Amino acid sequence: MFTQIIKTIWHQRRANGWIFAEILVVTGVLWYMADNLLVEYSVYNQPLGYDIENCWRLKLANLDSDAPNYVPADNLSTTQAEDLRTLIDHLRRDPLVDGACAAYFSCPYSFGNSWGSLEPVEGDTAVARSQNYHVRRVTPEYFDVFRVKDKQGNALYPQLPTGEDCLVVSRDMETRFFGKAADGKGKLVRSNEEGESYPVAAVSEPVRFDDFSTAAPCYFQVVAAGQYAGLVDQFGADNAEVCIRMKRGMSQEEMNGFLESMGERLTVNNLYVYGAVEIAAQRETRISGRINDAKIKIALVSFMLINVFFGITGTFWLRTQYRRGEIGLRMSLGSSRRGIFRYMNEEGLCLLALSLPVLFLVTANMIYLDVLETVRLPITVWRIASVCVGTYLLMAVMIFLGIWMPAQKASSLPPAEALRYE
Amino acid sequence: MIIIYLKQAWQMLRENPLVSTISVAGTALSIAMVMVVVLIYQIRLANYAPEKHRDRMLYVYATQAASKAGKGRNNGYMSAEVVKECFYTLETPEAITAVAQSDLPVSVPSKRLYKEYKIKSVDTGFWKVFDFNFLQGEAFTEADFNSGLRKVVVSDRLARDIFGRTDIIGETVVMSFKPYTVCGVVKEVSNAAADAHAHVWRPYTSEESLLSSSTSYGEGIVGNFQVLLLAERRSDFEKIKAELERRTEQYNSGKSDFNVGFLSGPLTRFDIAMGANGFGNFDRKPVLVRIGLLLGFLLLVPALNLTGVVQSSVKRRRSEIGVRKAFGATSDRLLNQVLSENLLTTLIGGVIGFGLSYLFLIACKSFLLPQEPLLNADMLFQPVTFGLALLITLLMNLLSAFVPAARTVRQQVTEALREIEN
Repeated sequence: MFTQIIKTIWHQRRANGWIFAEILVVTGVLWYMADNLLVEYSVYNQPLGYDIENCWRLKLANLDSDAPNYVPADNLSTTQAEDLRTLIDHLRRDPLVDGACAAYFSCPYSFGNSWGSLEPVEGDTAVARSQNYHVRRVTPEYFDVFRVKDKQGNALYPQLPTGEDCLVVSRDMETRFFGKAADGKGKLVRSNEEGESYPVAAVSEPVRFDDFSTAAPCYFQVVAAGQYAGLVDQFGADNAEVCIRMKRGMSQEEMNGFLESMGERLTVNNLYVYGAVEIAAQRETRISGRINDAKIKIALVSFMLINVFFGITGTFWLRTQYRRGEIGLRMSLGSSRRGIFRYMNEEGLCLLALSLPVLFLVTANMIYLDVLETVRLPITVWRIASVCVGTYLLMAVMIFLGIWMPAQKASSLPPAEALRYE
Repeated sequence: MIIIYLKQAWQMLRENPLVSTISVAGTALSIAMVMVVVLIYQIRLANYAPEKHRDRMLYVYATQAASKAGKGRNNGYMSAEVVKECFYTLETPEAITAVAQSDLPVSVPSKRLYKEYKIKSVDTGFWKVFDFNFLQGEAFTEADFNSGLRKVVVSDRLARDIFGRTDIIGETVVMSFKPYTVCGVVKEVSNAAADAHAHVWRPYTSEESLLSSSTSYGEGIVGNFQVLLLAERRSDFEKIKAELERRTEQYNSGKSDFNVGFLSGPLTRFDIAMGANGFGNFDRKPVLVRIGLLLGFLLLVPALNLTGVVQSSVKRRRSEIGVRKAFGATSDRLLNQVLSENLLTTLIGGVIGFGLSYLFLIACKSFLLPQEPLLNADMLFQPVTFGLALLITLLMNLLSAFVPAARTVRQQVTEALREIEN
């Protein structure tokens, strides 16, 4: 049966050539895009390590010296750090607010980030030396606001000492410093910038930068005492990222209304809140490029599939017209209507199958030339196999759909009439 | 003659409705996708109000303050001092404007509000470079600008948001606790015209913090401004660049520790449409190659389909063509016949596709265009759009019908005539 189909296809190579070329091009491009989308999708679905639901970042500013309520430096009795703390306390005490914290260049999906180097005091210092890790500088409440969990999956915030500066490392950082089996909690690590050593207060789940990055070892510098004041002095209270979690979901208008209702509580000396942006909106800005890219790819994939459908329908329809004689002959020799249907489908799938060796060559080349992404998802048999299966399944479905109408027509011909064309 | 061909083609289209529908649909889809790409770039590139002279503009987006001793540099925007010394002194451009952008809530004296709007701090040159439609009042004057009066032009949308009406000349709005008097109301500008777009335009001299450098680094070079230049004609671009270079040299010779530079230099609108942002080196070649590949792909896949269809329809009419040849029709003539017959299909597809492209663009604008801009007829319907659509349709016709047509024409007369006997 198979050799017969191959022969038929070969004899009709003129007519089949174009549709085969199309299948070849589309399968190749589809394969590449499917692989690409698979990588994005699998990375996207890994746990983030934090939860931003109902969380907002407040924007701060200092009054200009020409503003009406400006307090000259001489009349100030508090420091910037104290003003910031007072402001956060005002927010925290509001019944609509679930939690409030401050961070510097560390709010999820913000564009800032800091890097620092850290090493274990005992143990293998060679692993860490020359490496910089992503560091998030945050007040302890950050872990409550963003629901960060420890490596066992419990809430991390209650495990932190109150009112003390400390460090939290991610689980992959713990593994790198102390080995897979060891418990890093309580072990001393040294920050290379300051030369100070701190005990690890807790070990968090792996934390990702955003939805399209994979987790990398990172740590949190938790500022509650002396380091808090130092940080605010260094970067200014108005550059702090004040993040709050609301007790319920709010629209931007509701949030603006909430801020209006806070009135004077949002101004402390010269420091004031001038706006709020939902972290989810920040997330959208940050990852929209990738999301749009994926959507454009999906649109292109649909475009290709529709074209395959059109191509197959057109080719097979025209072909059934010439081949009415052949079909009639088959029928009169005892082929059932269903048999005709199946025969045509087999012919279509055979065309598709013929593209396999070419695709195989292209794939091998892409792997060899390092065109495929390997950083975020290593190339495994599983990855290649699922992309191949997905691509060929989609193509097969389109070919089935495309053949359906012509085959319907062919098999509904009365044999006697069909034979007349012979 | 062409009328006869088209009549004949119409008969053929009706003869095989399924295949004709598929051919037309395939063409329409392809042309729609190509036109969407064209429209996306058209929105980035074309002249429309208020950015009516984009083709005559030069954009200086990025500024670098580099240490003369080779010790570090800062990439960002320029200070008011650089604007004044290097740009306001230029003589060749027709108009020059410096723009600083920020997002601030706009309040009224009686109530503090938190909804943020895009604010542009500009000079009077801004109103010459761009062509705004004033609904009420007028722009602030040169005298207002020079004395730093707190006057603003606002969009009608902001006026309606805050006051519920647009006749608000003389009303007061508050930004950063400072009162501004509304002197003009303009029609809302689409954010696709990002250089002109804002909801509030104020003289930058009214904001003290903008007049001095934003940081102690860089000897007064670093600030918040970008500069846009309007040339009298495009041929002045080189002259303007040379003049700017002279001014920059002069300015730098007065600095002891730092040099100002403009990274990739003044950009044309074309560079920006291709993705240049002024920072870093921009190479338009890979972008053009990518667009070319995409367009080629969008045309190629359906062309393969159509070629198959055209091929078989020509094949069926081999005898007819044989007879015409035997009676002395020239190759050119026959080639012409096949191409013009196919033209009917591509033209119908082209018209449908052209319409579809607008539907697609509007339906998918959330992921096709940055920040979901307001779309208006000005930016979508340019004379060149229609020309391009026609050109692409003709190209599609050539791609899909040329090979079968050429093949038929090359056929031996005897062979073709033999078909009649069979």
